[in-house]
Amino acid sequence: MKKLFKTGEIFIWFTGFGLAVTLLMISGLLVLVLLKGSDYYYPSKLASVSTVDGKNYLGQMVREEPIPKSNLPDSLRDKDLERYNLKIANRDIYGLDFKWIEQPEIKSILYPKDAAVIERMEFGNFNGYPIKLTKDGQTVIEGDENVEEGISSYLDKISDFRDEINHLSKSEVGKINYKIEQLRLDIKKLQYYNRDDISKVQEQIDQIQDKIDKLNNNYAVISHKVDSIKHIASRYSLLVKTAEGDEKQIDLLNIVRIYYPNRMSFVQKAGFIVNKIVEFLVEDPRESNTEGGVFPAIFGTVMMVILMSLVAVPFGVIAALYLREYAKQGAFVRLVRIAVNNLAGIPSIVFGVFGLGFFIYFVGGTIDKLFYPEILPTPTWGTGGILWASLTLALLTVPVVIVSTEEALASIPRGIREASLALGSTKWQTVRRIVLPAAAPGILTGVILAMARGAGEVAPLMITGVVKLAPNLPLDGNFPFFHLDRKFMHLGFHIFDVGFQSPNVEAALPMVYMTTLLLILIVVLLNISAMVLRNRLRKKYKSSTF
Amino acid sequence: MLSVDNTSKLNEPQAGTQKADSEKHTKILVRDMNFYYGSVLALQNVSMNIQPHKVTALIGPSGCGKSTFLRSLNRMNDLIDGVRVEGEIKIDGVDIYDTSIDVVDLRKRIGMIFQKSNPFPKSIYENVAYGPRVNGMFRRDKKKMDEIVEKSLKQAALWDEVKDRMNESALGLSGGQQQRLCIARAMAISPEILLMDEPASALDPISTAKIEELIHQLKKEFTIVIVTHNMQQAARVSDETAFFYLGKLIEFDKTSKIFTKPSIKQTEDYVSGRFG
Repeated sequence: MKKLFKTGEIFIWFTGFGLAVTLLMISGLLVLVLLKGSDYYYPSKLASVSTVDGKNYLGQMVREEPIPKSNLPDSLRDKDLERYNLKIANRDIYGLDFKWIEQPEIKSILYPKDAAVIERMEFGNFNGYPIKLTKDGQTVIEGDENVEEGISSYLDKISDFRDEINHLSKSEVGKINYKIEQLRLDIKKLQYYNRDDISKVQEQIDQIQDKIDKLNNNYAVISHKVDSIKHIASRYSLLVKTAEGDEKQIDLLNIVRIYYPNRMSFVQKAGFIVNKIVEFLVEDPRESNTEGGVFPAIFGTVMMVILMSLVAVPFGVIAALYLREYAKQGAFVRLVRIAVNNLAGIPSIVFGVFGLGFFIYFVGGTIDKLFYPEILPTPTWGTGGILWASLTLALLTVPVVIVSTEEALASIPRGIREASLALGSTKWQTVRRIVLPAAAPGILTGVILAMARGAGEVAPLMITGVVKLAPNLPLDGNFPFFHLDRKFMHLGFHIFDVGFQSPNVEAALPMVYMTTLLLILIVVLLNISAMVLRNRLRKKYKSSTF
Repeated sequence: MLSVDNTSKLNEPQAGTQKADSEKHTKILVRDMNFYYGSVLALQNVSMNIQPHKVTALIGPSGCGKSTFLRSLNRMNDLIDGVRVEGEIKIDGVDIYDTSIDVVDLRKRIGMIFQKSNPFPKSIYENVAYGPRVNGMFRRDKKKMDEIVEKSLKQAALWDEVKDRMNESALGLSGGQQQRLCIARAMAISPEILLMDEPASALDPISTAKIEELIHQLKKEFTIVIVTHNMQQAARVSDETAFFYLGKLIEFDKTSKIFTKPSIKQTEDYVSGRFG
C-alpha cells in the first residue's frame, strides 16, 4: 500500500477513474436521450388489452414498472406484479392519452395485425381498426388489407390539397396581410402627421384605402379557393372502429399518416423512422408543438446564433486587441480584465433583465417614439424580437470572446512582433498583418465557445423575444426580407415549453428528448465546423518549429 | 572629455583614437549614454563611434548590456515599459531620441536580425515583401516587387535554395535558411545599418559559416553592428570590437588590437577565456 502511494501509481488510477466517470456520464446522457426520444420515431407495437371488467384498450406500452408492494393486498404481495402505462391515444374519446393498467386487472393481451395508428392534424393519434374509405358516404375501399394498400394514394392526393391550402393560407394570405398591415400603417402615419388638418391628405388616404379594398378582394378570392379545396378534400373520410367497437368517421384531410405497427416489416420500419426524422427536421409544429416538426425553432436558433456572433465576435476581438496591444498595462487594465472575467460568470437571466430594460424598453422604446409614433402604444421595436435577443446574447458571450482572444494574442511570440516593428511597420500594421492572422485559430476557439454557450441559453431569451409559436420566420420573401423585430422560436425554449408548459406533458415527452438531441447535434455541428476552420488556419499559421 | 568617473578614464584612450577620425565619418555616435530599466541602471556612460561600412562586434558576458545597447540603436527598447535613455545617440548627426523623430521612419533605415530566427507565418515571398509592403513601396508594381525580393534573397545567399518554392511557408525552411530569410527580409527595405543580435547562436557550424560569409559581403553596403557570444566569430567577422562588462563599455578598439594586445586587463582576461 505504501509502495502504491510512493510510486504515485494510485494517482494514475484516480485520474483515470475521474475520466471514466465523466465519459460514462456523457455517454449515459446521450443514450438516455436517444432511448427516450425513440418513442417519437419508432413504431412500437400496438397492444390490445382487455381487462377483467370487460373493457378493451388499444395502445403502445410505453412503460412498465413493478407495483409497490405496499399498494397490494396481502394475497398478491409475493407475485412481483407489474403495471403498464398504455398510450391509448384517442384524446377526443378518452380525454387522456395514457392509462395505467395493473397486471391483476388484465384478462388478455393481444397484438392484432389490423390495428393501426392514425396520426391526425388535431387531437393527437388515433388507435383503432380502419374499416373502409368513403367518398361522399359511398364506399371506395373496403377490407382491412385493401385499405392499407389503397389509402396511400388517397392520402398523397389529400396531402397535396393540404399543401396547397397551407401555401394559400400561409404564404399568399400572409403576403396580403403583410401588405394590408403596411398600408394601414401608412394611413395611420398620414393621419398622425397631419392631425391638424386631415382634409389635406384625405385624397391620399382614400387612395390607400382603395388599395386595401383591392387586397381585401384578393383575400376573399383566396379564401374562397381554400374553402373549395377544403370542400373537395372533405368528401373523403375513413371509417374506423375503436378498441371498444364504436365506429368513428375521420376526415382524410385530418389524417397525416396511417401505419400498422404490428405487421410492419423491417424495411417498412426503417422507412418510417427516416420519414419521421425528416418530418421532425423540416415540418412546422402541430398541436401546440407536441407533434410535427421543429423547423421554425431550428431556423430561429441558427439565425439567432449567427446574428449574435456577428455582433459579439468583432466587438470582443476589438476590445481584446485594445486591452492586450494598446492599453498601458497596469492596475486599471487588470481591474478591467477581472471585471470581464466575472462578466462571463454572471447568471444569464441577469443579462436577460438588462436586455429587457436597455434594448427593449430604452432603445426599442426610443426608436418607436422617434420613428413609429403613429402606432403607439402598440410597440414596433419596443418589444421582444430576434435582434434584441441576439444583442442580449452577444453581451453574454462577448466576455468569452475577449478572454480567449486575449490569450491568443498573448501567445503570439514576441519575436515576430519585434521583427515586424523592426522592419518599420507601425503598431497597427503589425497587429493587422502579423498578430491577428497568427492569433486567428485561438480567436476561433473563443468563437466556438461563445457560439456553443449562446445556442444553449434559454433564460435571457424568454424575456427578450422568444415565443412558443411564431407565425412567421424572421426571414421571408416580404421586403425587407430580414424582419429583425419579429419574435422567433428557439430549440432550448421549445424543450422547456413542450416539456413543462404543454397541455399534455406526458405525450410530449418524446418530443422533448428529440429536441434535446437536436440541440446537442446543432451545437456539435457548429463546433465541428468551427474546428475544421481552425485546423485549416492552424496549418497555415503554425508557429515556428525551430 | 572630462570626467572623474573611473569608467570614463578607461574609455579615454579609445575616445582619443577616434577623435583622429573626423566626425563626419562616424555613422553612429553615442555619447555618455545611460540606460535604465525602471530604476535599474543597465548601461552606464557608454560612448562609442561606429564607422560606416565596418563591422562592429559587441562582446561580453551574458547580462552585460550589449543586447540592450544594440536594441537602443533602433529604439526597440521603447516597446518595454519603464525604460529610459540618457545621453545622446546620433545617426548621421541626428539625435534619434529627439521628440521630432518618427520611430517608424527610423526603423526603416535600420535592419535588425534577431537571435532566434523569426520568420512570419507566411510564404517565403511574403516574408521578404513584407517590409516594402508596409512601407507602401511598389504598391502596384508587382514586377518591381519581384525584383526587390529576388535581389534581397540573392544578397542573403538564399535565392538558389528557395527560388522554386517562393510560395511555400517560410516555416518549412531549416533553421539556417530561416535566419538568412530574416536577413533578406531586413535587406528588402534597403536599410543603411544592420543590427545583428547573436544571429548565429542557434545555428550549426555550416549555417554559421554561411552567415559569416554573408556578413563579409554585406559590409560593403551596410554598416553592421553585431552582438556575439562567440569570440572567434567576433575575431573573424568584425573590424572593430567593443567589450562590455556589467553595463559598462570597458574597451573599444580595432578587433586585431582587442584580441592580441588589449589595453585593459579585464578585456584580456575575457578574450583569453579566463573569466566570463
